[in-house]
Amino acid sequence: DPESYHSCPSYNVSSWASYMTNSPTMIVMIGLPARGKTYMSKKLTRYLNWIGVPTKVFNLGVYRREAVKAYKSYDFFRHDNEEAMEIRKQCALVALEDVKTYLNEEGGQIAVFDATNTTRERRDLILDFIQENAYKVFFVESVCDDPEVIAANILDVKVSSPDYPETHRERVMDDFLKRIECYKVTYQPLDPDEYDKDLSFIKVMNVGRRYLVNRVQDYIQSKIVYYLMNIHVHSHSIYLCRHGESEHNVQGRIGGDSELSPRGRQFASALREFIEEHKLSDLKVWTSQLRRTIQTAEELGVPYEQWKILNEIDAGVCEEMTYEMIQNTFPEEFALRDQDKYHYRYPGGESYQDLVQRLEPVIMELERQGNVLVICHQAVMRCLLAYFLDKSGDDLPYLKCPLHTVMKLTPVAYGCKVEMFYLNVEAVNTHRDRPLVSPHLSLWCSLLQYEILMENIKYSF
Amino acid sequence: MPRELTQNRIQKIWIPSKDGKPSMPRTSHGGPHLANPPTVIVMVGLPARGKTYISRKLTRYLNWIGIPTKVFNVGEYRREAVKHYSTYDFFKSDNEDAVKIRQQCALAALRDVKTYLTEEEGQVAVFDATNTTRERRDMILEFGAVNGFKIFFIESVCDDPNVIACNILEVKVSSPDYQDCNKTDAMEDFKKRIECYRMNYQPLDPDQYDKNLSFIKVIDVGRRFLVNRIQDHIQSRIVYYLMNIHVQPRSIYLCRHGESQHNLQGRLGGDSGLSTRGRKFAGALAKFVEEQNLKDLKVWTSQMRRSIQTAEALNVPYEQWKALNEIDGGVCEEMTYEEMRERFPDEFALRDQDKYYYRYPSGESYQDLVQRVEPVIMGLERQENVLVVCHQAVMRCLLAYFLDKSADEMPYLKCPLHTVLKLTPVAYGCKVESITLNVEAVNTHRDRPEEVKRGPSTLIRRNSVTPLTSPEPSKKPRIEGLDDTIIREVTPTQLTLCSTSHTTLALSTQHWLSEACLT
Repeated sequence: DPESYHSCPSYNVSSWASYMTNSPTMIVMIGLPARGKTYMSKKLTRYLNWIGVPTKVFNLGVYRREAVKAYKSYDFFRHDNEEAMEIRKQCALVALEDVKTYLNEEGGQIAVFDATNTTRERRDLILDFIQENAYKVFFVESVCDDPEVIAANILDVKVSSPDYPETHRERVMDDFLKRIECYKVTYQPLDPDEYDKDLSFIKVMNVGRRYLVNRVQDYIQSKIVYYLMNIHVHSHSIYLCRHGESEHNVQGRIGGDSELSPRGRQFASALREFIEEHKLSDLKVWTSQLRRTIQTAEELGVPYEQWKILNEIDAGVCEEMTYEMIQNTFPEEFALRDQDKYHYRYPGGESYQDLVQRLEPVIMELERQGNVLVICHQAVMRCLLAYFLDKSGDDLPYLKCPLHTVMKLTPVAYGCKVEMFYLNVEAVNTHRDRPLVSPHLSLWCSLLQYEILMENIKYSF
Repeated sequence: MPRELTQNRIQKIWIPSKDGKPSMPRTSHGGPHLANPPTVIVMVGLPARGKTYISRKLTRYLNWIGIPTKVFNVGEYRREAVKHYSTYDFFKSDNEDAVKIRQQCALAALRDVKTYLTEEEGQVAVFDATNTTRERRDMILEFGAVNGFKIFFIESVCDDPNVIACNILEVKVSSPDYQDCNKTDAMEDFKKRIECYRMNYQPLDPDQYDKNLSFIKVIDVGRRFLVNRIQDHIQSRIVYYLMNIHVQPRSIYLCRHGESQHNLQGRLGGDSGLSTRGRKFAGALAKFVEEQNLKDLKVWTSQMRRSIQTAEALNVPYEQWKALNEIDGGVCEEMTYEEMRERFPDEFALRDQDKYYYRYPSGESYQDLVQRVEPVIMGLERQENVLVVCHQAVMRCLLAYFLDKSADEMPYLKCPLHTVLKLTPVAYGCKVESITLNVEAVNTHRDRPEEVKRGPSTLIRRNSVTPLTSPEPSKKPRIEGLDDTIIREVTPTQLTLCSTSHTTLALSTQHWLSEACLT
């Protein structure tokens, strides 16, 4: 019953996530500036949200920039600058209040507290907060003493930070290095042997060369550790594309296991040229186990690997039908799908939500790899893209993944750069936009009423 | 022109063909490349630190997910070479003759490792020995370098006397070494044995000497881990697995849903409800669970109606996993075996030919099931007491993991309706108790057919998900064979030999090798 389904927000949390942990968790980052804390926070948050665990980052720097409109110099960060210290502490308390709201009232399950948290005093404050609220806590400390890595980080993300709007690169580097020195004076790393031996944490050393993992409490923490151990920062690109146009595509049928159409075969050739042009070294090629992706890969003349889990979404009883046939044969199902395309499961088939769970090992392996070309399918590609571009379950099923187009994803700073390459071979369009008319007529009416009300209020002033 | 594709008849995998016959696929596999080149996992640690426990459990897991793995336990080689163990004196570091024998055993084991990885299609070899000195580990590293094997160390460090005493009681006191001793004497002797090793123990040093090695240090039975330089996918999977296992006593209960309407009609798959007898079973299960009197029992079901209905009767919270759904029968869903035989006679025959790899058209195979169900296994490892209410094929998969059954045996494991299997970890394995809840049900089991003709079409086994039973640990000492190999002179510094020995053992040869490249 879709009505009750929507009225229980907790229902949307993937049912398999609940065995992972039995209370909200705070992930607390620790480390000097330019150690990759924000990079890890954002990436981890993106991953957790994608697998269905509602997660949010709370970055203390953002709070500080709100409180102190204009950053002048590193002097703000000196530990003997009492006024600044007070402001910074206030910011931390405000951020913690927001964490509490998120975890208690907004359906959040994990809050990532992204700040230096380099002193025991600050961490003890957080531990008190945790205890008051009966949350779990997991620390992620990043330790790095390789000056090249640190300099690269600063150039990559700090130089373009709001703190340094127009200044000269070298001046920025200089100021930032001095900022780091301020923190170093009072830095107390996690001590696994004595002071911190009962805490749950992972120490990431030198960008993943080594890890120290202490007292993992539950499944979600072990997944977080596994994820952090698989990500790397080497530059690489991931290419996503669909199989060439298939016979079913031409007939407007979904699913099935048909062959490439003549235009699909043309695309496969164009894809081979594309790969040759881009001179990708050590490119791995992955396909699904459906004929149309394998036929596409065959044309490339390079080794490829088949993954069953890259197969297209299983449309169950609707397999091989056209959308028209579905609408005629299963009109209710057809309407339900448009209501909530992400959670909607075809009878005897799968939902996008199921797909995400199925695809998780692919994502993990993509994180480990270098250059990879994934030849897959529309729904699958949408899921993978949503992971890289941090798209919600709401947007995911409507991402545009046209045939005969390759998307090149390159990690950059805190996110992903996307380049689209249309390989100039015509194909049918298989995309269905989000329906314009909201199926919830009553909701739509209330929204309309609300708008009218707001308009009235506006005019009354 | 792209090559023509044909679909392999059993696995339904598309591979390129020549003239309508599947050619050897250039590269297509059932799944990703997992362990290439071969890897030697080297255990490190004092006795009674759980090395063999970890070795065997890890090997069972790797074989189940399809990576051919085997344990090489040097203690077994030693027991073959030295027929009768007398006292801990054998392990004294100044016992020259014994040191030589132990060295030879290690080398023999390494030679078998090489054979396994290069000639027997093994992908991972677990070298289970103390390996507590740098000298021994350097020898192994050289062995790896010469043969092109990756080396990954697993060190177990534990100083909790309770844990150690417990380990000794559980697995050492009953070892063949102590078959003529009483418990107390055995315990005493074993403790002294540990002291012999402790004197020369050089733990892995992540800061200096060993900083470039790939390893995981497991500290205090998993309380803490130090992980250094993971090189590849398989090492990262191994680390993940080790971080999820624990040694708390607990039991895992596996059962199927109660008898369903489809069961009564002999139909496969579908999503029918419970029959009357099925509902009766659910009630009996509730009573059974109560009687077990467990603290914190977790209950997991699939997302199919029959398993949820069964759990509902228990009146406790339960969690649904789609991954626990029954095997997808594809086009054969909801048919009886008779109907399947009539409508798809070829498929019916193919399935009997190779039930593990056989994939229903548009459906799944047992091989697919293993991949699907792996996260459930990982979850089960983390948990304590769990009851899993699932389905016949799924239960066979899970059981094969816990009882170390091969792909060949898995599809024929007996998992009758209305029967609960209680699995309790004990020593190095799993104790199974089968509890029938006394509610009648149909029998859904089909035995392996008498004449199963193996067809010519075969199966792409390599890198596909193929559980193999963990092979018997190698016992053959091959010490005699060492005479034939090239023996090189060794500089005295390579072994810490001390003065006189007082062993009464007769040695067939006084030669000892320190070169790791055994030919």
